[in-house]
Amino acid sequence: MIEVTNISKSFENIQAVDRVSVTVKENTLFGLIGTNGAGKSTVLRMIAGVLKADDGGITIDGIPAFDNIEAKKKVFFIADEPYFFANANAVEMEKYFSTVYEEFHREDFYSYLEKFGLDKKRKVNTFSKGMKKQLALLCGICSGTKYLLCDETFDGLDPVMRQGIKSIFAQEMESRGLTPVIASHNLRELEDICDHVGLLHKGGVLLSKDLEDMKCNIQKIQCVFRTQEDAAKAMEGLEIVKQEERGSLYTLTVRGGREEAVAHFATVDTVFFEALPLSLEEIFISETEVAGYDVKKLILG
Amino acid sequence: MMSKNSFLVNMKENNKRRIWLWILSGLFWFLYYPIGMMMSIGRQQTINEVRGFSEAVAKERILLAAREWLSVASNGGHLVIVSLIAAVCAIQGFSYLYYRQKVDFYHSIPVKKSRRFAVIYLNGILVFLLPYVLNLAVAMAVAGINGAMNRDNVGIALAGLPFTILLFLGNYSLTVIAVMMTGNLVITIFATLIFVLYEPVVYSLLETFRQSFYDYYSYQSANRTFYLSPIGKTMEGIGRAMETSMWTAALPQLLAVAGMTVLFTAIAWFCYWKRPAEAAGKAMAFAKTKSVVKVMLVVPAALGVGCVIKDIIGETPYAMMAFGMVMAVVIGSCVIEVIYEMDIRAAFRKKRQMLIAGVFVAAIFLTFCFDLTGFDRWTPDPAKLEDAVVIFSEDMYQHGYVDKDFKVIDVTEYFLSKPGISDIEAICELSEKKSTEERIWCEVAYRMKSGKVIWRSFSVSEEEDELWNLIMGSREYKEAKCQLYDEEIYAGMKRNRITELIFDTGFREENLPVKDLDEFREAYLKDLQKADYSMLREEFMCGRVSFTVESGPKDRTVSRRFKYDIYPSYANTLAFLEKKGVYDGNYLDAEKVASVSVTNYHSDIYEKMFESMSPEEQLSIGSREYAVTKNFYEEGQIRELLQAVYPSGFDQWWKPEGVIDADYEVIVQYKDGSTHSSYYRGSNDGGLITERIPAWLEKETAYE
Repeated sequence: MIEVTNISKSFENIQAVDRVSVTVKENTLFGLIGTNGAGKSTVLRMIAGVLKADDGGITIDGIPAFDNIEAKKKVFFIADEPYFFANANAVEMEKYFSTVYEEFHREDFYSYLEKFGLDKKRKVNTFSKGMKKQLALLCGICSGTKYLLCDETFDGLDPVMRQGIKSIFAQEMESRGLTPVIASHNLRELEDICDHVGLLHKGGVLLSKDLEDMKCNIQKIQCVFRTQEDAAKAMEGLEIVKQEERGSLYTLTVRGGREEAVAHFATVDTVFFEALPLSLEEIFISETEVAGYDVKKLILG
Repeated sequence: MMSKNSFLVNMKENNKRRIWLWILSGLFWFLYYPIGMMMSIGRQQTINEVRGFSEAVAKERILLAAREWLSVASNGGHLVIVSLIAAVCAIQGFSYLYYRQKVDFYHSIPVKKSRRFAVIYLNGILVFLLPYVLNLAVAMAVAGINGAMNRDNVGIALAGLPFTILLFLGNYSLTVIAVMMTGNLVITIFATLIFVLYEPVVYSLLETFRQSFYDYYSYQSANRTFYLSPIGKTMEGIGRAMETSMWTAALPQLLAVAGMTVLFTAIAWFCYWKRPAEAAGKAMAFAKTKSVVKVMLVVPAALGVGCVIKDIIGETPYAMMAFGMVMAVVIGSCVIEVIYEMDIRAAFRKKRQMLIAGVFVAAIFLTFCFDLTGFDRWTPDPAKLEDAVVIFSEDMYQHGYVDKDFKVIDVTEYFLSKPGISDIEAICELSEKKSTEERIWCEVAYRMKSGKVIWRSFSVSEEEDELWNLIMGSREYKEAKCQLYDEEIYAGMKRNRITELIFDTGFREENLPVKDLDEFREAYLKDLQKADYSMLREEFMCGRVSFTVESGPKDRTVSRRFKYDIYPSYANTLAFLEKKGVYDGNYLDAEKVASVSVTNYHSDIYEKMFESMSPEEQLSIGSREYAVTKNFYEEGQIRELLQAVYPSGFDQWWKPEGVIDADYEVIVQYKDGSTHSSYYRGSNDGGLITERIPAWLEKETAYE
């Protein structure tokens, strides 16, 4: 488990990260969402042990992260612009990583390279940006580390590749408990792969929740009530996050489970009733609006 | 089996990233040593053929050519090249710290910081060391095949190794600090230059200020020892080795460079350990050092500008100097701040730092300007003074000194090794009479009871006969000045080959048997006891005894000549010379002289005419235009002239001004046609002692 406790980091006079606390549970896929400058990269660099937090602490399975070789053995960090040696090809990168990560899976690496159609003899500096990210991901996956920190790594990957990586993640998570942490500025990039999401804004954490929990605990209800009294009765006892009325059609976003909501509305006389699933985007909009933020501007561009 | 993540594996992987540096280093040393050696030998072989040297001479020349190529001392560029390679190796190894991408990569992988540092640091050394040593060995083999190696040459080549390697290590570790403290290549290069040059520049500035503002400053107190400059210390060591012809004599300097290397490496490691990853790409890696570095750069730069202004304008242009220094502080601070922030608009930020630098500059300038430390006012406290070593300009430039092992030793060092003058009263009186406008200049080292040595340089009137007699007549002064007093040194001289003992009258030289040296020494030291300032001032030298000592192996003999002036009151020495039949009371025998040529330069007329000349005439008309030369053949005139003549090579140092008439120059022609003007066998020119000039000479040489 990665435990980030109240960390802060400033660069000269700029506060990049301000008292952030996040917990990354093992064997989950953690998404770190935030706008440019929200502090995602800084948080990942601190988890990777590259940067030292000004305040607070980070532990990787209980081991302090900064400048600690035991912690680093558990983490592979893919920066937003991954670095490869000048004129090196995939084979040379593999050879290097094999000396550094004792559990580097060479066979898997070459097998993945082939699957992804990456030429192992071709110089990496002739690769496209997306290919470099794929190679960096493959290096990270095959490094044998428990945690894989990906900074904007999925941005720009085509859907096929994303799907491919997603399936490898699923496989690795199942086989050896890989825990990927993916930072992105685009929620849509992550919604189909993350188990848990942390939202960073202006250096601080707006929320950090399990996606399933979020999805199960918030419902979107569309209904038409027979009378105003029925409407008033239906609203009683509900935790309404958002309410919209268009003519006689009510659209309500309410906290609670689906069954609970359906049972509640069954007691009220409705002309029309429907419980709809919420997209991750809608959940975020609802959750952050409660906190007073317009999340559309923050993460949906 | 080698562990996957072992030190050696890390070294190998790191070297893969430095292949181009290995190739460059290998190529450079290959061209420098084996190819350079082949070219040097080839050139010498061609010269040998063209000049038709005998086989033995040709072989000797080839050996010499190879020796020069292998010697660190005879190849000044070698030190500069090694320093440059050290800088390149250091910067290339740690340059990843300039780039965020690379820092993220290297600092996130599970390799210990200490190991990463050690791997890069060690590889940087190997990149230089292996190609250097290998190619040196190949060059020695090339020389050997061409008959250009002997034991001496092997010794010279091997002696260069510690100098070169330690110089490399010193500069390499210094540059690593520069890399650690900066965040990009350009600033690192500046920082390296500053690190390498800072100490010499600061010393030189302080020296310039002391010389400029203190009347009695002695350059003897200048700091000639570098504490933080590997190249300065290495050059000091090479100088020492050359002086003594023994590389082991440079051991203290070599150890000092080794010490610097250890210190710099420790600092470099500390900086590496503390360096934040976010420093990549910034001008300075440590924010806290910014202000200190700025002040440390601006202060000497401003003082340097002050020196330049003083040099250009001369005299004491305090207002101009102050203005220049203020401008330098402002401009210097602005430029550094712009570099720090990479933003021209940042120029006038951090005004407090500018002010602090200005305060330092003002404090230093005012300290010198108004002698706030009381440097020039200082006189020794008799109660605290142990003794004093007095060295005159004549001692500095007229004699060469050796130690008991017959190695050349600096005059000051030699005088300081001897007991100083213990007549405290005389020394204090001398100090109180110090001036800058008198004729007799001396350097005085006051040795305090505390062990401190304080140097002052000043002049005292030549009329202070009594005081000068106390100083120059003291046994301590004479024992320091004349090395014949020192039994150990004399024994050292005799252990070598004394090849000749000569008495020189100024116009002729007579050989004495070398075995008579002891007898001469005994007589001379007896006479020297009576010598003092009055004697030197009043008496004219009547001859000089010298002997030559050869030292070193036969193919590299070093000759040194030791000279001892003889005055008329040196009765014992003169009796010895008379007994040996080489002294008859005259500089030369009038019977043997065919003619005496006298030139009267009429400097008084020239000076008068010079004032009335146009600037063009002043440039084109020299004093020679007014000179009148006459030859005298008559025996009577010759005898009279020879009574007045004083050999040009003899001492005039202590004589009152005008005792030797500077207007006259005399050249003697001998009857046998020989001029006796050979440098080694006496001279044939001289001046005239004013009071003995025949009355008719002025008329005979009058300007018409």
